[in-house]
Amino acid sequence: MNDIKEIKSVRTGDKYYKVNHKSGLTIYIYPKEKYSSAYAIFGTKYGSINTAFSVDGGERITVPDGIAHYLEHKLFESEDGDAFTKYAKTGASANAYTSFEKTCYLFSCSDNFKANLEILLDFVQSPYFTAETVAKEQGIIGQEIKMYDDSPDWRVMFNLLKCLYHNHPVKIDIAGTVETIAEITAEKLYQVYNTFYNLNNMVLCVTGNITVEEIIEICDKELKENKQHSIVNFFENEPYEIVKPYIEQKLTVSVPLFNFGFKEKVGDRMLTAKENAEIDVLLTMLFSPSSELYSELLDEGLINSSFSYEVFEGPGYFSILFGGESRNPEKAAEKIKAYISKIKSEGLSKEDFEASKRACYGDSLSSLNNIESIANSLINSHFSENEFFEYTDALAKITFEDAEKRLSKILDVNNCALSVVKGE
Amino acid sequence: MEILKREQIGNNVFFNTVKDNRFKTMKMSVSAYLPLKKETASQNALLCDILTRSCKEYNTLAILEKKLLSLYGASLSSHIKKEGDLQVLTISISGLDDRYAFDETKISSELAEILCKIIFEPNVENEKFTERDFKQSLRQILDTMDSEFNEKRIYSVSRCLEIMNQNSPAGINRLGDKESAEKTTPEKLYHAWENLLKTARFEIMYVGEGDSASALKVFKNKFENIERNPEILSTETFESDGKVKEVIEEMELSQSKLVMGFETGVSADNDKYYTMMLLSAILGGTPSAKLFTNVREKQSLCYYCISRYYRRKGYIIVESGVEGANLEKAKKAILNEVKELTSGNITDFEIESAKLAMINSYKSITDTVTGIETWYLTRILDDKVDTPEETAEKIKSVTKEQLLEIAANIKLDTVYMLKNKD
Repeated sequence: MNDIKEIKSVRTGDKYYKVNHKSGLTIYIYPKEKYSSAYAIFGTKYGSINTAFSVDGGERITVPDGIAHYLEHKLFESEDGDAFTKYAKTGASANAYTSFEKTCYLFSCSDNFKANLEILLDFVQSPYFTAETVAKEQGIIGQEIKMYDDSPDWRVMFNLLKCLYHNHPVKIDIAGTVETIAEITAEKLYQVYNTFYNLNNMVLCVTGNITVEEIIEICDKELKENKQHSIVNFFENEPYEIVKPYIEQKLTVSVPLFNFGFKEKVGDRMLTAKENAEIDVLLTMLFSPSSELYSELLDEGLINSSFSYEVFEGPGYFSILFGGESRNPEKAAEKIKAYISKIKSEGLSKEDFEASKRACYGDSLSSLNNIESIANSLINSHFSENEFFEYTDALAKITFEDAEKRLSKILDVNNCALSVVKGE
Repeated sequence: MEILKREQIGNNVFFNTVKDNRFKTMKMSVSAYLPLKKETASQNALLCDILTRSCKEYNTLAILEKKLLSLYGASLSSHIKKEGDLQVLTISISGLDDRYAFDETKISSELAEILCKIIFEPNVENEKFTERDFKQSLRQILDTMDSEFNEKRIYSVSRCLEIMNQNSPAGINRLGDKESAEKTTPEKLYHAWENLLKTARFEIMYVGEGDSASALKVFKNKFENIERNPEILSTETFESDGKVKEVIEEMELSQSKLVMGFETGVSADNDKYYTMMLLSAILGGTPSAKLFTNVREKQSLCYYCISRYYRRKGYIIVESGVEGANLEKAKKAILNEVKELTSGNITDFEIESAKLAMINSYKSITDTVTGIETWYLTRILDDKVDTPEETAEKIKSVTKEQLLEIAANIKLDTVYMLKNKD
């Protein structure tokens, strides 16, 4: 039996449906009235960090770096042809991506929704790997890896992760290296596929001009019931301390880039909606263009409008990252540290807190305009075991004291690292 | 969604409204269209940037940003674009719709007022901008030029366009060049601002549910007080000199870039441009296109290989990232696919799938605020501004005969290679 629950936001009246499908799959359906298109994303809780695991208490299995991403490429081919050719007959715009903690297959379309969802559900459930098709992808992914090797944004971030994490596989490039992908075989692809592409480990989110009934009807027909198995992911123990405070790489660039990250304590679970809301309000107060620090850094010529910050979190890792272009990244990082220390001893401004709370609330509602961002947020909430609307509600409720308390627990100035990419 | 409502509120000043109650936000923008010239490009880019740093009432960036923050995190931004032989400066503001405020705040009318102040009441004194803002804008524009060099995909395409357009405004960088940027002063920017209000063509765009009528009135009043003398805007269709230019540059890189420019003879002022858009999509616009299927999937030469049609100038740019040793092989493979296209070897499947993909993307455009805004701003200079649906219909009706009629027009003009040093 399918179990369907309606979830409504008290604040905006928006609603979506959560379905525990009899096949084992969790499905989120978020209809948007008067929209002309639909978006669907089918994801598994399996990304680049899941390189050591066991199934049903069996032996520990280790697989090559980059295999989740390789699998993403290869899954588009089935025995009866590749998915892109099938989508070509329906007109959907289809894609896929692999991140640290998940792999997702998606499409958007304005016509032929039913046929498109059938294609998506079918090809993700129909692996077909042979020595020949696996070998063909080496050249393509090899060039993708080389493209990232030249990307200053990409390099500066992975270099930073190597400074922050001793053991956690988040420090390894998502696509692996030309050497590690050479070890990938059809057998290994089947092994990880059979482990992680179990519907009980997956989620489907659909948004836009669709109805609950039509989605369930298609899913009832297309999804094969999966027997649940237990997966254990092995991550080596990760100390709280960083590896080293500084790393630098030379690339052909004319304006240097930096990433500056604070390694944070990881709890038993991912951040709750309330914790996320508190951190987002704090970061807006302290580091957005309206802040004292931002003006100071600008006036001293230490940042430009590319300056940004983000919460970087997943299973077993959590840090707060700053990034941008700077002619003097060391000094920018020093200033950020000094400012954090000052705020921690002098306290926060109530007025800034109220304004930032409103701003974060505004941002969270804006994201409900877009069917793509709704579907992606639903998937993220699901994998972090949060309920999607909780975040907006938490934002409206948090107090100044909550924010003060949160600040005392994060942004440890003795636990941060700087990564710089410079020209020759 | 209603279709675009357009009203002239001054000499070459238009106020465009798309009423739509599906969104939780509104967006309003002011775009100035100017001829792209080497002498003024950097100055205009600097001007566009400096206007969003402060204004008379909110006279520092921090004060301005605090005001936006208190309006539920509204955002103000500037964009500088190149469209054919024109430079387009856009300043936009967006924020939450009034319905969602905790209190009675009229967010949308406050935002419209701020945008108006940004354009008409800048932070100037004694006919010059402040030194503080000027320094920031200059540094920002120079950094942005450098960061376009950082990303080799962007850099290699802009190099190819530069080589193709040596004698045309379209070869000028959208931000101008460093030397002229550095020669600009706060005084010169003030005069550039005065000049902009007099001579540019203005398109104001309002997308959302809020009160656009009062915003229209405010802008109309402002423009009535300006003596307008708009410049003539035109873009010439690209014409090749008939010789294929081949330029190779070397750099320390892991991957080499290959960019090729083709003349098509068909640009936006020609009815056949829809047909050319479809031809470019068949060549390299989708995963079932000739380039993706053959150069990537069959020959495993690259991760990306795409073609893009620039309808204002009428050229097609093909770009790919390949192994240095495979540059010639990839060039040959791409030219082979172009030859298939120009000699009419196009299957019904290729035509149908390209059509479906294009129609699908046009129909989805109206589902985002920015999609709607961008669609109209890039077409507003057309003789007749088509809606996405009308464009979809036109693409649908293109026949194979029409494709074959102009396919042979596509001719190689430039090959640019950014080669990795061994």
